[in-house]
Parts: sequence; structure tokens; C-alpha cells
Amino acid sequence: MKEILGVEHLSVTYTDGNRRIPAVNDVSFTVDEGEIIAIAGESGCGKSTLITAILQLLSPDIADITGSIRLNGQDLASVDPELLRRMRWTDISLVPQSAMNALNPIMSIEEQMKRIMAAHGTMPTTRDLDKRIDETLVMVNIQPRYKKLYPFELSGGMRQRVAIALALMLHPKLVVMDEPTTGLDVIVQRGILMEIRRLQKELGFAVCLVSHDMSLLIELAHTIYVMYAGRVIESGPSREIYRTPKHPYTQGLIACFPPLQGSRKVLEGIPGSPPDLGQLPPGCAFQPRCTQCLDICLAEIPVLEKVSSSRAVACHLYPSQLTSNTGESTYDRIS
Amino acid sequence: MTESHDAPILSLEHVSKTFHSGKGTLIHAVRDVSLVINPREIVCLVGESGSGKSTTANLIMGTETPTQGVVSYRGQNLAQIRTRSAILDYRRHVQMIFQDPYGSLNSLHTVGYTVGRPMQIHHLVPSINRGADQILRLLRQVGLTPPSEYYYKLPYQLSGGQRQRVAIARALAVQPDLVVADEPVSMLDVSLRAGILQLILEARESAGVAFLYITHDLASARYIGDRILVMYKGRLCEEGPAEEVIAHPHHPYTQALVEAVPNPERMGQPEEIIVTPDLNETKVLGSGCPYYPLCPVATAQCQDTMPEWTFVQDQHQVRCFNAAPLSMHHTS
Repeated sequence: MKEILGVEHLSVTYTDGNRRIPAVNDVSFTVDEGEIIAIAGESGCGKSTLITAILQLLSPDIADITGSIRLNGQDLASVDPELLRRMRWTDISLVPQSAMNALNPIMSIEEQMKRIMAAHGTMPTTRDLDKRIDETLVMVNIQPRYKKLYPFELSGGMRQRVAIALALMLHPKLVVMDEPTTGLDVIVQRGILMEIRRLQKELGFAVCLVSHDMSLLIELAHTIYVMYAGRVIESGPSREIYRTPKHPYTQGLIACFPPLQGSRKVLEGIPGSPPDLGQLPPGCAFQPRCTQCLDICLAEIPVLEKVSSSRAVACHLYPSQLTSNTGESTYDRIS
Repeated sequence: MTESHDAPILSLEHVSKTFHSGKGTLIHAVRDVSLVINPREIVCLVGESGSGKSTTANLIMGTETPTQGVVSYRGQNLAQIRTRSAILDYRRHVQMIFQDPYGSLNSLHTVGYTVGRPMQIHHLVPSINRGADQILRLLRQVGLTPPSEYYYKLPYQLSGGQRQRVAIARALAVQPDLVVADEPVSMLDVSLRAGILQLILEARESAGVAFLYITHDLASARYIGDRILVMYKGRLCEEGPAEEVIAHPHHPYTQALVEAVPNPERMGQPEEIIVTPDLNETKVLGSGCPYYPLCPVATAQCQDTMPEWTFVQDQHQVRCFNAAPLSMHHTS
């Protein structure tokens, strides 16, 4: 399949005086046409920084960005600002975090949609424009007569749908969604997820979904990248990750959700709390919370290595073929 | 404590709360709700936002007074608790944990003060300093170890999960009978939620505290709860043992809730038909069932008449004319 987005060795380091905070560290992934990929992780794992970097929204004054980001084969770092401006919404669009509060409160829905068309589309006739607005709203299951309303007159779920409508207006090839359903009720969330899936099938755009809710991501996404402390620590097809999570953190994340069926077993959770990105522990960043920690974990940062054709994991428990002959017996488990 | 351990700690009898909106219309936040909470019981009140769960919590905490009906604590009508000492006594026995641990702790007070102050107010310790041992024990109990390290910390030095632990310690400090916990984990990182739920279960085991756990997350309600009460638009619509309600929901709304929970087991399977509300239409509620406009099995009588409770199983009851069981499709 054709690649839409290619991220290679992307690192983002925030600089604050003398403090350097590595928020994203050597992250690589690709999104193909019509694919839904998910970035999973908790607060402070760098997932929001990653997508703001991809969208070229980070100022070089506060962050050092290395690595490359290709959209449709074009390196975004070398694209001039005017072209970049045009690419936004038409090639790549964003449904921001807490999208329900991201709408302009003093502008009607219709007006906000018109502004996007005026700034990015070839301005069609008023008649065509009205038609496009109506079509887009119908697409996200909102009746066109609501377009004259202001955001405060809509419910949270409806505002979320409007934010998705805005992102889809110009038929982008890639839609980035940052926690698209956080803060919504389960039933409303279900409605929006079904909407996303239906639209994605109809229109064939690719989705890059960011969330902490593993059970939701597993249900919706094709491929999952799990992030911890700025690094991708595991990746693979969502079904495989769910059935056989390899990294102890992924195992923990999946075990965190109490099941709706089966026996009520004791939930372990993950001990401790996510690390401060400015003061990472030595070795593997997950090491202080890990129950399967080895000696080597305290000393060396594990690299993301393939463990099968489709999966990769960054954990010393899964030594790569090159080192496993010598490495495995040398280190005994601590716990 | 000398109270009988068989009688309910708290009961609501046909409680309604009506608010007046500016335009002269009435908002029925809670309608005809009856419930009991027994000692050592964890009761889960489940519903979406706007269903009246938080108003119910406020009615129990005494920050709202019911328009109709009676809230009673150990048989005593809350509305008749008037004297300062009696109010203080009620507040001691019924505590609350809030959703947002970033807003519920005074940012100028140390952890030790926050936990010790209620003990001092309720004369459980002569002063905060002299209660330090008890405070440290509580901090250890809620997993803030070593406790001496946390005693002088201020909220900004703590993570969200640690703050929520402080809030729980504060609630448990006065040895309450009942703690009302309003969405206590929804603002926390997923990896920390299990720890907090575990803490609630432990508090029930060790101190015999009962909980009213308010949530919209069915999975955590099933995990933690003895009983589940499902609320929709101010009315209770289903009630029963936690496992039973989730495995065999009878009310169409409960069924929609259960189906809506993200379920990894469902991946790759064909999309099921589930009821998603048409968010564009909020009909004015008449005297009938509030779920009538969205209900797939509604009949004419649902529009005008609110169904009475009917038992579908021992202890499992539902308010629906057309209740029918829905078993989970994917039992493993």
C-alpha cells in the first residue's frame, strides 16, 4: 500500500534554560493509505508532542527536532511555510485534544466551516459551499439545520462531531486524532467511534489515533505503537498486541482495564507512576516500575528490535538474535 | 460504635430534586429515587453525564435538600438533623471523595495537615501534631510509603494518583461509615486506576467502610461493586447484583451501556447493531419512561406511564414494560 506518512528517527527535545527534556526519542513509524494506526500511552509519554511535531506546530525556539517526517513523500521540514499552510486541512488535518472545547465560541458552526474553505479550498460558489457544508455535517450525523448554532448550544458529543467534520471537510489523506473521545460518555463515545470507522471506510483516509485507552485502540486500530517516556516500546498489529503483549508495560496497560466478562480477578495495575521526562532513571525508563526487571535493565536502554515480521519490542527480556547467545545467561533476574 | 450492623446506613425514599431554570421551566434532576446502602457494601451508581448521579451525591452529602422524599441516615431523617453537633456527627460518618484530585486538595496545606485536620475537627485527636502517628498510619494504609516522606509535602509535589490517595486518606481519617466517591478514578492515568480501586476494596475490608461509587464506567463498577444501580435522566431504571446486571442486563438502556463499552474481544467482528442516541433530538420528558425517545422496544404505554419495578431475578429488578434479557454475546 502507498505510504502517506513516514516518520523516521524523530526526536524532540524541549529546551528550558539549561534543562533539556527529551519528550520524543527516536520514534519511527509509517502510516499507509487507509490505515488506522494508534499511539498508546499515558500522560507525559510524549504522544502529544509527537503529533504536534508531525504537524509542524512546534516552534524551534523551544524544541530541537531531529529526524525526518514525510507526508506523501515530501519532507515536511523542507517545505516552505506557505505550502505547509496549504497542506494543512487538505492533506493532513487534526482533531485536537478536548475537541469539544477547541471550537471558536463566538462563531457559528457554519462560519467556522466557511473559514476553512476560504483559507484552504478553492472558494466555490455560495451554493456549492452551502452544499458542501451540509454534506459534511450529514456525514458526521448532524442535521444541517444546526449549522447556524454556536458551540455552546451543542452538547459535548455534537461538538466533537463538528470538530471531526471540520477535519474531514477538505477530504484529507490523513487525519490525526488526539484523544478523540476522552471525557465523553460511553454511549456517545461508541457513536463517535462507529462514525470514525464508517467514514474511514467510505472515504478511505488514514487515521493516526492517540489515546491512553488500550481497549478502545485495540478495537479500532490496525497497528498500535505503545509509547513510554518518549520512546516506542512496543509495536505490532493490535490483535497480536492484545493477545500476546510482550513488554511488561504493555502487559500492565492491558491488564489495567477490568473485563466486562469472565471472573473478577484482582487488578494489579502498574506500581509507581510515570517518570519525569526531565529526570529519567538510568537504563530502561520503565525499570523502576517493572516487575520483571533484570540487571541489564538498570544499565542499558533497550532498543526497539523486531521479534517477528510484524512486531517489535524494546525490552531486555526479548534479546535480539544477535546478542541472545551470549546475553541471556549472563544476566539473572533480580526479582 | 454501638449502632446495629444490620440496618442500612443510608436510605433514600422516593427522593426527587427539582431545579428551576431561569426561564421558568423545571429541571427534574432526580425523580423518585429510592435506594439503600448497607454496612460494608459497595453500591455503584452508574449513568451518563446529566443522569442525576452527582445530584444524588449532593442530596446524600446534605449540600442539596430534596424537593420530595426523605434521605435518612441510620433511620434518622437528614432534614431533621439541625443541631451543630448532630450535623458534625453526620459529616464525620459520611465522607466524600471527589473526581478531581487537582481541585479537591487545598494547595497551601501539607499532606499531614490535610489528613489530620478532619481528625482534629472531629475530636479524634487533641491536635494535628499529637495525631501524627495516626496520620502516618493512614498514609501507609493508602500506599504513600514511606509516610514520613509524604507528611510535609504539598499537593503540587504529588502526582494525580498520589493526590487521590491523600484524598482517600482524608476521607478515611474520621472513620466514616460511608464514603461517597464521585468518579474517583476517571481523571487518573489508566495504570494508576487499578491501585485506587484496590484501595477502596481494602478500606472496606479493613475498616468496614461502605461506599457509594459513582461512575459511568461499567467495567470498574463490575470490578468493585456489590450492587449496581443504573440511572437515566434522573430515574433509576435497573438495580441488582453487579455481575448479574452486567451479564444479563434487562433494561434497554443498560443493554446499550453494556454494548457501548470498548471491547477488545470484539475486534474484527462485524459491527453489531447497538442503539446510539440521536443526539440532535432531546424530547421534552412527559410522565412516561425517560428512555422512551431512544428505546428500541418502546410501546405506546411507555410514553405516558412510568413502569413500576418488576423483579426479573432474586434482587435484580428493572423498571421497564418490555424488559427482556440480553446475554453477552461473547462469553468466553
